[in-house]
Order: sequence, then C-alpha cells, then structure tokens
Amino acid sequence: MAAEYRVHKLLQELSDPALAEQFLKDPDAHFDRYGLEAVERQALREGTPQAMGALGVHPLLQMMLLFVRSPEMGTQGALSGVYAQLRGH
Amino acid sequence: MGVLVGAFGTSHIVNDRGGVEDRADRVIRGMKDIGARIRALTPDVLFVISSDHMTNFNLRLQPPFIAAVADRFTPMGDMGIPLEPFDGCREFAEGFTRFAAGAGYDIAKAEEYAPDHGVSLPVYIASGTEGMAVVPFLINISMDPVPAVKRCWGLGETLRRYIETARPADERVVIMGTGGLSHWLCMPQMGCVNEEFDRWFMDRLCEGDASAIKGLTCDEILDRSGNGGMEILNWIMMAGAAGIAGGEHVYYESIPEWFTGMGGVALRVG
Repeated sequence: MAAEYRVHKLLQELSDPALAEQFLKDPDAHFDRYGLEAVERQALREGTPQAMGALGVHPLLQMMLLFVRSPEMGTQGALSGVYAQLRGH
Repeated sequence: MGVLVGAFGTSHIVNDRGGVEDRADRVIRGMKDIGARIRALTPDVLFVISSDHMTNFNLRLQPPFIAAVADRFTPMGDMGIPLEPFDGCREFAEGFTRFAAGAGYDIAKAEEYAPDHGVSLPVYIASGTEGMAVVPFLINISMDPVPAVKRCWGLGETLRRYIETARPADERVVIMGTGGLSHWLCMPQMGCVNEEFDRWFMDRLCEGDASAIKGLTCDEILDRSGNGGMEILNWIMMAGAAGIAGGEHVYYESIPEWFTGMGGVALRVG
C-alpha cells in the first residue's frame, strides 16, 4: 500500500534546496502546507526506513529525506580518490 | 547504415573503499577495463541506458521511457561525481523516438535533464574518445508498474534496427546498460546481496540464453534482485540490442557494505 501522494509530494519537492531548508527549519509548517495527517507527520518526524516503510513511502523518496537530514550522505566527498583511481591517476 | 560496435553491462555506482579495498579495487579495475574497451571501439555515439533516481523525474509525471535529447549535459554531481559536461546527440535521440514510435514504442523526450550518477558514472568511465556524443536513455523503475521485461528487450531490438537501417553509413554506436546488480534500497532487506541471482543473470547473458532472460518477470526480478535490482531492465534492453551472441564476464563482486552486488559484462554483438 503506497503512501498518499501528499506525503510523496512533500518529499520529492525537498529536491528544491529552498524547500528543504524551510522543512528543516520548521517541519510542522511544512506538514501543514502539504496537509499531512498526524500519522504521516509522525512517520516523517521519525524518518527511519521502518517508520516510512510502514506508511508505504516510496524507497527513493525515503532516501530523499535521509539525504536532506544528512547532506554528507549524498555528497560523498571522500570518493574523489575513487574517481581519480577510475581515471588511472 | 550505422553499426553497433559494442554492448556492455555495468553497475553505475562506486563507494568508499574503506574496509572493502580488495573488492573495490577489483570493481574499479573492471570498470576501467570496460572504459578501455569502449575507447578502443572509437564510438561516435554512446547510448547509456540507465535509471533516474528521482532527481529529474518523480511521481508528478511518470513516463516509462525517456530519451534525453539536449545538445549538452552537465552532471548534477550527486555522489561527488566530477562535474564534467559532455555532448548530447539530439539528432540521434530524436530520430530514435520517431523510429520507435513507428515500432510501437512511445518515448518521452526530455530537454532538461541533469544526469545523476546513473548516467554520469558510466559516461565518466567511458569518456575519452574524441568527438563522442552521448544519448542518455532512462527506463523508469521508480513507477508502478515498471516497464515489462519483454518491452525493454523489444525496445533494445528496435534500437538495433534504428542503428542499422536509419543511421548514417559507418556511424559507430556503443550501448551501455547500467545499474544493479541486486540491491534493496530502503527496504527491510537493505544490505542483502543475492549473489546467486546476480551470477545467474550474468551467466545467462554471457551464454546468450535469450529465452531465460526474456522469461523473467518484473515480479521475479523484484523478489530476487530487489527494488534497486530492477535496474537490470537497463541491461536487458542493452542485451536486446546486442542480440543473443553471448559475451564475457568483466567483473563481479558482492559488496554488502555498499548495499549492492556489482557486476560488468561485455556482450558480443550478434
């Protein structure tokens, strides 16, 4: 059972850095804007794969929330050595 | 007529070597091997079949197949991939959408597409041929239902006919089918790798066992290879274009620390 589209819409629009910043600053205002219900708010506040999975949140949009909360996960600056290695440096 | 000179399958992600140095280095060697083979084929066009990780296409609009037709692309830089712009090939990409429409495949066109790692990493591996243009092509595995196995295979066959009947004489094309292998992303099995299935899939491709590949269903792939493993649809389209002439393994490593099985093949063009 997939989560309601309002939940997915909130999450996929976090790809906009301005909206992500608003969300991190004031999640409740964000939840209001997208009309989320109490159980949906709780799942996103918790933000674990278990909580979001139980709600039926799309796995890639679960990743979106994880990346927004922990930006270092998405940038992987430590990988520059691996890319250099791929080029034979 | 143009000519399909090479067809490769490869995973499209790398991750931190820490703790997995030996396996990571074998993967990197395998990817470099694929890059060297592609450069040796001196392609005019590199056709990269991949998935978008909801960085360009999300649930707002869900096209099953997307050809990125722009003249130039700049990676979005996720996973820290270097921001090296590369040339697109509008004329090839738009021509393919017209040809495919005549063959029963309606493909969405994207003017604005910022390649995430799914396309950027394969291009990064394969780049280095003077004048080579890239056509990014996305199979939408984020939607439900995902495009069926036989549609992906058939679209690969259609791509082959397009190259061989509608392209300029001696145009050299390489196809990369990218992603996978088995991984479960934000699913309860996250961190599992089904090495047995990964090797079975690569063996069937390399033995040229088209009926085993075409006999797969998306439900079976999801069950055995995970939601991320659905990316083997990208390999299946590539294999449909290559024909059923077999090929060879280039690399395989199970890396649960990276949450995925990593593999690469070089298929013969039959």
